[in-house]
Amino acid sequence: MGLLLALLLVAIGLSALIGSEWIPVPAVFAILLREISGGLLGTPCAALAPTSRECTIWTEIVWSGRMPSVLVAVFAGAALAVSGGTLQGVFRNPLADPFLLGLSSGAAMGASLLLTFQIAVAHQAVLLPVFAFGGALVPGLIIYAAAHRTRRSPETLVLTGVALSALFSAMLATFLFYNPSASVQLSFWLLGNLQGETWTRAGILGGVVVAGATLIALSGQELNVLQLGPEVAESVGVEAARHTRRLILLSTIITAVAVAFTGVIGFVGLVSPHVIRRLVGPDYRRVLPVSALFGALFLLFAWDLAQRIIPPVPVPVGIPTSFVGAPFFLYLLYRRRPAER
Amino acid sequence: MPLNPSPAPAGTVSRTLLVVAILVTAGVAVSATAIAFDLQSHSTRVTVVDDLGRQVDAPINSSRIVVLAPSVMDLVYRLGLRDRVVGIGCTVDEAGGMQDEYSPNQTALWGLSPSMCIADYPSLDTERVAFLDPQVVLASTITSDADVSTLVDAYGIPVVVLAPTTLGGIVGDVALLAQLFPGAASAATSLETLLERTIVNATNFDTNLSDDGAPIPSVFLTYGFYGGEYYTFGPGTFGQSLVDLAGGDSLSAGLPLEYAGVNASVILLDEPQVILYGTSWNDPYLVGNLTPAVWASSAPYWSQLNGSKIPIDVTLLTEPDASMVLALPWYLYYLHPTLAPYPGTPPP
Repeated sequence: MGLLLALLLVAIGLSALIGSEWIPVPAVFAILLREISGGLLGTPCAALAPTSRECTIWTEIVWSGRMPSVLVAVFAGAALAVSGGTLQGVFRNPLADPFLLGLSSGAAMGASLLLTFQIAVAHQAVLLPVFAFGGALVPGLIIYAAAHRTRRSPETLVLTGVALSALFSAMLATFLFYNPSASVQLSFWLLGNLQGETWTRAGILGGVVVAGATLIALSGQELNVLQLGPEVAESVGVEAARHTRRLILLSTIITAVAVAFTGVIGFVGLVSPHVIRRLVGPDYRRVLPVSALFGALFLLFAWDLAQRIIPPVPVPVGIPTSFVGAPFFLYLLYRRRPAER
Repeated sequence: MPLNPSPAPAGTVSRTLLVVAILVTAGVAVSATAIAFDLQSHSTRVTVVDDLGRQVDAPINSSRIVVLAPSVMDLVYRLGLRDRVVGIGCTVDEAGGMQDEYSPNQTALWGLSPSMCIADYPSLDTERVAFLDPQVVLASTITSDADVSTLVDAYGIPVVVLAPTTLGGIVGDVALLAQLFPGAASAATSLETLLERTIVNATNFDTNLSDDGAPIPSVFLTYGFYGGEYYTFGPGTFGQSLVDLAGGDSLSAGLPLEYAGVNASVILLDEPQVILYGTSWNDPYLVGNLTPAVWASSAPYWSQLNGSKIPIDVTLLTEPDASMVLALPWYLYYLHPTLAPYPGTPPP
């Protein structure tokens, strides 16, 4: 865990170097040091660039342009990984991930409402996360409500998510039929976009994800017991239904906030917990926090790649997560672990 | 015996003069600073309301401008502000990107070069915009609201969006630019007058047509052919407004969508008397390189359509700017060649 944390910090620093404009490496690190220390440490701005105006622009690009996107990648990656690990545990289904429950198609449907019907055109940047969050909450809350019925099996809940996902996808397709011009904007959002993040958005996402993921991680022991089935869990004093509902709700909230800000990013939630289980074992008290670090690192790496595939404009970040994630996942599945195939 | 006042000692006079000089200098300095501050606080920035209803605070007479749409560049050029443009939106930030977004005519007239390009597809390279250090960015709705927000929120660059929805709105945009650039007020006033007069003349011509009971030709306006369908401008589009104002009966008026493909056989059955078709250079958004020759060869129904087929530079159909308005006399002439005067000069 310490190694992953160190790697993540290094990756955050290196990611600040990546963008469409080249800024000298010493200048980038000096800017980071000065901004983080509130101007107490590092080289003064004027000494970094040929002109003070240029230095101001560099500072804006690194600190106001790049860093918020880097942090959003970190928090969103952590949220998706923790959510994926939790849902795989709750449903005892290795294929479960935040999007299997229809959260992504719900968010996409919410976003498409805004884009298709051109609601509040001048304020779409603010309203898009709100609509997407609302859309993602709908399937999450339906499944939460379904889980209230104690006799619902995990399979039923997962299939409910699949059905809702199909329903929202059909609604999305219908909206796009009436306004094909919205499809370009929406398709970019459907594959995830971390460009143009702000400190406000990074702060909101960070606050919700840290709080939500911590609450989930504190339930690691209960999640371990739930793996033995509800009856066994009840017999050792763990209220299976209550914990299941609580974990679904928390996972839905952190996923919905992440999707609202970044769009739909596949594979992080599915892959991260599987990779980490192979590294640290099945104990959810370790799987969840380490998955969070891995997910953050994975999405940050994907974001760095996304900016370099067709520079200068980044491709949707969901493309590299799948291109990198899928082969890596297959490699893990088929490497020399015959007993687990 | 009169008293002769004793002359003041020389040192006292010098001190007095020095104090007076210091006070005068200080007073002048304070006044100058106050005047300068007053000028700075009251006349270096202006708040305008753009076409999306956003209040934008921007420097007056900005000397560094980024322009993110050809339609905006048309107005900027006509107001004599081209020399202030430090960057333009392009599909990609190299030669090909500029060729995709600007016609050869526009590139030559406006003196554009690939070095000015800022990639704007699939999203805007906002970092590049920030790097160019503009005082104001002039955009259209080609730029997404997310990218506008990034420029404003992350980099603090004022962005004015010009997105007229009517021909009159284009005139309004000229006035909007005059607020941002009072130095170009004279050029703006002349342009506004010219545009208003052109619209009024077209409206009067249209009214006279109705009064005289002149025949109204059926018109089909198209900007592309793909998959057996002609793409056209439906209700609420500038293309529709142009046909209406030029005294034509648009066959696309009843379509359910603003931009739609219409099956070629339907057009054949409708038998339009005039077919206005946009010719392109190499614009990927318009389904290929639509030269008149390509039109004729690519559309199997083309030769069967009997109406007058008139090519029009597609930028005059798709880019809501002064050139679009100034092309109105040509639309009148194309639709009513025996009634409307020959405009003389080629379309703008």
